[in-house]
Parts: sequence; C-alpha cells; structure tokens
Amino acid sequence: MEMAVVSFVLYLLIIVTIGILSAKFSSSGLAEFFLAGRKLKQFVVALSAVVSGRSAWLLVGVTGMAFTIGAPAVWAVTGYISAEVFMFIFLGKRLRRYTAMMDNLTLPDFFESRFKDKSNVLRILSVSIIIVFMISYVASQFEAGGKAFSTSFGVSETSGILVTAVIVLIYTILGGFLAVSLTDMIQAFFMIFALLILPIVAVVNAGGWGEVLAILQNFNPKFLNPFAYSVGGIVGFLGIGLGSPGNPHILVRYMSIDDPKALRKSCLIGTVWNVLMAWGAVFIGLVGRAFYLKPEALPGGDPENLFPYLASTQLNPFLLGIVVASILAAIMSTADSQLLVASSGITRDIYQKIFAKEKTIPPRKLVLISRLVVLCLVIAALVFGALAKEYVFWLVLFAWGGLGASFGPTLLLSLFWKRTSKAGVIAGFVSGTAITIIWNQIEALNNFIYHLVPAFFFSLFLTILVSLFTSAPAQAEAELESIKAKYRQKSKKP
Amino acid sequence: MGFATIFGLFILPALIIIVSLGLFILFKEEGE
Repeated sequence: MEMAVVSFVLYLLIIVTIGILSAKFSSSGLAEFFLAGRKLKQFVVALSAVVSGRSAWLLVGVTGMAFTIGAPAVWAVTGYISAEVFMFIFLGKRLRRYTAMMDNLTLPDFFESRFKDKSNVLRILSVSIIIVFMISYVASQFEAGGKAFSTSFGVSETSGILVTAVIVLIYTILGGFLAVSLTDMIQAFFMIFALLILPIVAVVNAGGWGEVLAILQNFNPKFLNPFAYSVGGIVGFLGIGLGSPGNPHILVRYMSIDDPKALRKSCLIGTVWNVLMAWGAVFIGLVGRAFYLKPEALPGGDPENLFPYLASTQLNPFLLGIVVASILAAIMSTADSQLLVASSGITRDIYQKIFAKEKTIPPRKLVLISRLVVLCLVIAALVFGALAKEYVFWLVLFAWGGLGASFGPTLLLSLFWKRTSKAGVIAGFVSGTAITIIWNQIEALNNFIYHLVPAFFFSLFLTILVSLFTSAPAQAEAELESIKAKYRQKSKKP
Repeated sequence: MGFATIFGLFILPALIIIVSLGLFILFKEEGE
C-alpha cells in the first residue's frame, strides 16, 4: 500500500507544480487565463482535447459497461472517437480561425459575434446552459473521485470528494488554461498507461488470451459478439458521439492552438490516443468478466468498481498507485476544463460583457474575479453532488447530452451554413435543452434510446427550419468570406 | 473467435486510425 501511495503522491506533486509554474503567465489577462493566449502546440492540444472529453465515464463507466454487456460496449466508444476525428480536421480549424479573428474567448462570445446580437439573448441563454450542465458534470466528477479514493485507499467517500475538489481547485485557480492543458497532457499519459497495462497483465495472469476467450465463450456465447445487441441500443451508443461538437470544454481546446493548420497533426495524435484508451477500457471489462463471472464478486456488486478492484488484485502496489492516479487523472482533466469554461461564462460573458460593458477593468482584476468564480463553482458542484446521488455514468451522460444537443447542431450550422439565423440558434438552444430534460424524465423514452440522439436531431431540424423563415445577419456571408481571405493571404506569406 | 468478435475488438479500432491517417495525408496541402 505504501508504494501505491508513493506513486499517487508523485502524480499529485507533478500536477500541483505545473499549476504553480503556470500562475505567472495566466495572471496577465483573460485571454491567458481562459485560452493560454492561443499559444498551445499541437501535441498539448491533441491530448488535452481528448482527455478533457474522457471523464471517469471511460475508466469506470465503460469498463463496467463492457463487464456487464460485453463486446457491444465498443459502439459506445466508436461514436465519439469518429466524431472527434472530424472535429479536429473540420470544425476545430474553422472555429479557431473565426474566434481568433473576432477576438472571441468563449463559445457565447462566438455566438454573439456571429449573429451580431446586441440584445445579449444568445449570450445569456448559452451561459445559462453551460452553467446548469457544467455544475452537474463537475459534481459527477467529484463523486467519482470520492468513489475512487474510498475503493482504493479505504478513506470515506466524503473525504475523497473533498480531496479531489481541493487538488483541482489549487492548480486550476493558480495556473488557469495553461496549467489545465499541461496537466491534461500528463494525465493523458497516466490514463493510457493504466488502460493498457491492466488488461495486458490481467490476460497474462489469466493464462493467456485463449484462456480468457474460452471462459467467456463458456459463460455466454454472445458476450464477445458486438452485434448481439438491440438496434436502438447500438444507435444510442453511437449517438454518444453527437455530444462531442457541443461540449464547450472540448471546443475551447481547438480555440487555443497556435496554428489552426496544425490541428491535422493533433487529429492523428488524438485519435490514436482515443482509440488505445477506449479499447483498453473495453478489454478491461471483458477480461474482468473472465475473472468475476458474477458481479457480486465485485465490491458492492457494482461493475463500476471493476477497474480499481481488478487493478488491486492483478497489479503490484506501484502500478496500482498509477491506476488510482489514472482515475483521478480522468476526473481532474475533465473537471478542471469544465470549471474554467463555466468560470469564463460568468466572468467574461456575464460580468465583463454585460454588467461592466462600459467600464475598463484591469486585466489582472478580471483574472482575480475568474479565480474567485472557480472557487464558487467548486463549492456549488460539491453542494449539488451532495444533493443528487445518482450513478456517475448517467449524470455524466445527462450533462454530455444536454450540452451536445444544445450547442452541437447550432455551432455546426453557424460555422458551415451562412443562412443560419439568430432566431434559429435560439430555437436550437431551447429545444436541445428541453428535449434532453423531458426525455430524461420519461423512463419508457429513456429505455428506448439515449436522449442525445432525438434531442440533437430535433434541435438541428428546428435551427434549420426557423433559420429558413427568418433572416440571417446581413453581413454574415461577406464576413465569413473575408475571414477566409485573410487567412489565405496569411498562409501565402513565407 | 468469430469474425464479429475480431471485427469489434481489432478491425474497428484499426479502421478509425486509418481514417484519421487518411485525413491527415489528404489535408496536407490544404492552405485555406
């Protein structure tokens, strides 16, 4: 156990040090605190974009799901990985270019500039959606942190939740976006290592892949068939990928790269990372089932405990410490990015752009306010987490779906369809959020298909329909074309 | 191990990587 604590503490020291070292850079202004001054390199952006989107859901949710349903769990990871391939190449590049030209720091900033909205309706609506879903998302990450701590080190869940929250708070408040991105990179290494080493060691300990296959075939011949699942279930799993283009904590990663053309390299790095982590998680679930044919064999009979429990029985203490660190890494790499996005919504979008519009506030003061807002958001997430005791997996999917359905279709159309109108975007925001909440409340609908799929397509349909009946911003076409032209000129310069 | 298993566990992840590699090569000269 001591060795496990040593490797875990080592991990914590690294990320807190990064937070301290990034503090000076991040204190100079909002662009530095919330977007690292748009100076990040392709490797950092690739790993940061990938692990910010992969929360505890991948490590404890997907491993538990593969343990429960078997190979059909591959569809749950295929959807988002495929979506993110196209986001890196197409959406990310366009978003980075437009937001840099318009000096946008946040997604609400982008919507306001794109639709020349003087009424603040788009800004207030989008910030409200971000805050509501992000707080439940962060709360679920803290809950998962508590669970991981209590399963691995025997401390109470409440203490685990508080430790997770305090560590994230320290480096996020100090180092802002730069620290969050650099720690994401370190966390990406912990996560991929743990997700690959555990299934390899477990297969070897089980007597080889042939032995694992034989046990699973004997247990249930359909367990290893990815197609042995309902069509609605497979479509719902693939539909998880529709969430990626609407989750602001992933999107801001693309906005922070120094050269938008480098996103194609980020795509390759990020996809390889995504695939290895995801299939590692699926293999852990499958191999875990060969070890524990009955779920009751797991602590609390909970499949979500498989990952830390299997690690504790198969790995040496030092590697076990890395596995525990990897769970915390997944949790922190997501929660930190979400806290910053939510903080930017309040500081930049509400305070600076609405309440203090006429005033000139020193950049350092704005950063100080942003840091205080991060602190308040952590407290809000802790309170919400204490009130809403739901399964981590479903709380994450609720927030992921809500953000995906509200921002995904509206952002895609805003970037790729000049005819998109402000009224259309408002319709998309409202319908995406409403369908997510309503669908989630009705059990029969929820069992039929994951709410993101109908909510996304309904929001997409309404945005198009309302846009067709209302007028798009007069200068939209010219503006988008001129931005393209400026970049063409820039790229021609030696 | 049937084809479905091999597809789901090995071919599918390889396919995704190949697609991203294809896009990486395809957009090499894209200056826009």
